[in-house]
Amino acid sequence: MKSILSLFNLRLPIYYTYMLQQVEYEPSKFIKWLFRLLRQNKAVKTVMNRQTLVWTSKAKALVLVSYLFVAMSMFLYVFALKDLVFWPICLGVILLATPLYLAYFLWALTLVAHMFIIKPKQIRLVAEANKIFKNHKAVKIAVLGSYGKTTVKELLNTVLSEGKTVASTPGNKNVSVSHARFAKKLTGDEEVIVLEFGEGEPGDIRRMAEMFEPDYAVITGLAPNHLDHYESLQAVAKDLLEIEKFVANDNIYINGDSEMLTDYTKERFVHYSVEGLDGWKVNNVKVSVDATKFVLSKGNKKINVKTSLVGRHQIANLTVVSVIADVLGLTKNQIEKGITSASPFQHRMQPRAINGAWIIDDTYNGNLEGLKAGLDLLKEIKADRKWYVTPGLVDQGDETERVHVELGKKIAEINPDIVVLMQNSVTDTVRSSIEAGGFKGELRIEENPLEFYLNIEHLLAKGDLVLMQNDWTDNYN
Amino acid sequence: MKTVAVIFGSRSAEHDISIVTALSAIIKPLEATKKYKVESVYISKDGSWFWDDKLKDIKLYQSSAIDEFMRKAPKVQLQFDDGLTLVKSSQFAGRKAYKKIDIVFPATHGTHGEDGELMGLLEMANVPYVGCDVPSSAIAMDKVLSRQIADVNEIPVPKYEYLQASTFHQKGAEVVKDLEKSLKYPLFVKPARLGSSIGISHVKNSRELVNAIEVALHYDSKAIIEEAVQNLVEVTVPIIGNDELTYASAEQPLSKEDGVFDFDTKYMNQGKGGKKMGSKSGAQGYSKIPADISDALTKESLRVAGAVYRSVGCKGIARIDLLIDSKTKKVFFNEINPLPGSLYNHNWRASGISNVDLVNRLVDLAEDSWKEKQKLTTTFSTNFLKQQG
Repeated sequence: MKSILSLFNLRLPIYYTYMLQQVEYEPSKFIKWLFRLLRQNKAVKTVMNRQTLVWTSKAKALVLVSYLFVAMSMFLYVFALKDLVFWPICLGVILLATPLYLAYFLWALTLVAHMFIIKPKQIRLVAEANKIFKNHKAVKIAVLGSYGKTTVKELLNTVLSEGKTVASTPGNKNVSVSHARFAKKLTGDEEVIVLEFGEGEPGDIRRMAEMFEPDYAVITGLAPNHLDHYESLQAVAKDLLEIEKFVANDNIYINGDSEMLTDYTKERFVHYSVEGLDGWKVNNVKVSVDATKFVLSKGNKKINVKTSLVGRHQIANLTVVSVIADVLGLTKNQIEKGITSASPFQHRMQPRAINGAWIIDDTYNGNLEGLKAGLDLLKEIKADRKWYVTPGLVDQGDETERVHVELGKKIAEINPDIVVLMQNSVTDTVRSSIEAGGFKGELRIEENPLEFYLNIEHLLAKGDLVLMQNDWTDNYN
Repeated sequence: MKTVAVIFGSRSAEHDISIVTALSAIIKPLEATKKYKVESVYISKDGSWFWDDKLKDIKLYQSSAIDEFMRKAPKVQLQFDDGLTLVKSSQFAGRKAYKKIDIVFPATHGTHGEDGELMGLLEMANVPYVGCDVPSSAIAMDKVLSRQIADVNEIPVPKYEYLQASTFHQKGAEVVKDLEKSLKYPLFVKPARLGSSIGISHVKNSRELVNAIEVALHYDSKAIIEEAVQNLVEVTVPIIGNDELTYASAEQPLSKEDGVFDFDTKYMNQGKGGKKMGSKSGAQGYSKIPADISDALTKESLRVAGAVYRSVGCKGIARIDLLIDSKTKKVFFNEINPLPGSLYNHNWRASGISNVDLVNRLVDLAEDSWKEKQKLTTTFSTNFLKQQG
């Protein structure tokens, strides 16, 4: 009831537009969010607790059209109903339905725009990009997987840039349209191009590979992500492995530490792991809160890896990147220099010192394997007091329950001193699993993530180590 | 949920510092505990009391908005009825808002607050409050009294004399001659009952001494004049506790070249060489944690600080400032701060106690102390009145 009443708000078009912006104007996600809000009985204005609408021209147009739509429809209703005996009652009923039909109007508007403007434009862009990539002489590397692909892509860019002219997709832009826009910016002089392939629905990887035609591929891992679009984990694996139709098996590097992935690949492809890769061995590993060190050697070759990227799981990433650099002809010095210059990526295992405490910001980590790797790091590093902060994971489909039970078990196994769960639909599952696992520390449920983040400086002191993993965007809260 | 009233501001030269202590070091962490409902009570420079959630916003004090607020807002009355209750008129229909306070967290620095006056009021209300009680606050605030207590307890203090304003105004230069007979330059002259290093001077001759006394007596009616410790290393030790004490790290403030650790050095000039350190960082900008002294001297500093804390009868929290002669390795007691600015929370954090843990512990200590006091009998039945007349 509270949620429904909250929709009768003059700022409703702004809230709706904000949420459309949050779901990247995807019509179905917008409607899902609205019904989730009603189910959870939350006031609509709470969606803008953490951020506010960015007034782009698209957003301005949508807000304006929304207000005009409501005003005009009111006018038309009054005009059409004025001769009816019970017109005030009819108008009242219509007014009550206004928030809902405004939502469906926006849904229809974005759907139509998607079908008749955005989609055809995207198809044109992709076709042009295909031509650009086909004619480009550069070595092309595709990085794909359920997690860790942005890290590997960025590492490849940083390390290979020590000896080659490299271009790679910016940030986590990993859909075909981003690739196409990226292609238009290429100068033609690049020696290596690295593209991140994001899987969102079946067929994505094949479409991207058709456009890019990669020479090498790195599959960073498999996890039950995007199960709202894929039927099962097997369907995700099948999509990722479409890459073998485009790249020779010897040029496909598979993360052997991802058991879910190796279940599907068996002995095919080149496997890399924290142990090494194809004769390359990892030795003398040292992991701390702000650095990872190890030696990578094969025969006479030896690479001293020193990086500010943290976590044992980074060893596999650094190994595959070093070996690809070696294959592409970079020298030992170039590889070592490149690795040392790589700094943690924003919100991905990014260590930060505050009040003498350490916070590892891993709030862009959105998969179970990544969370487990982080928890292992939390266990490994010494601290007076260990904190673990998470809201859990989104987009887990039918796996939601299983994934969060597993997360709870893992948290209980690592047994931090304090666990903070951001209150949402999966909190009870994680909490039950943590308690069932015999967790001995303090469990806190935080209803307002923003307030927690803003107050963190007051909660920490020297000797504290905090691991923050994942953050739910407003449409999931 | 218990209600904690944070009282700050007051008629004091350290009024503004008190606002920062209250807002950043007490109210925010108390709210972050999620255990307490926090009420902000502001005492203006003219002594009026206000109680409003708007007072939690630092921006209010950074412009003339605070004057506008005070012009419109109703003043607060206090009711001592089985504890402390804040009373505020709604300004309409004679209705009043009441708020029963479970614990008070005084955040006032200097006069009319930290000196024991506020604590006296809270004792009358019989409400638990954080920090030193009436006698220890009064002693701590008076550099002469606290030195006398230290002397009695055989805690070393630098050689000193003190001077009442009336004596100085009557005798003038004659007083200076007397001081020069008993003390050797260089000297420090300080107002006896003011914190945050306001009004302190470092003097090397008679002319400077007269000026310095005038400055000190501008702020207080009593001044203390003491010999400067040679080969000086300053150290400060924050302590919390009632009977069982917890020590933060011994901290070494970095004074200016003239050896004066004044208000500007502390709050305005960002520390001695601290270009990077904003005034926001407060004490963090001008000190070393832990102090750059030997383990033996650190141990001795903590011992002397603890001895002072106990001999003065401090409760809850205090910061003990010490002076060390680095050649003789002798540690002297300098002064006590019953409510250190921002609770010296930068040092507590560096010692492993977060802002939230600190305020939690201080509130617990306040309640423990109050419970102990409730066990005491404060009345006594006699036939005295019946025998009269």
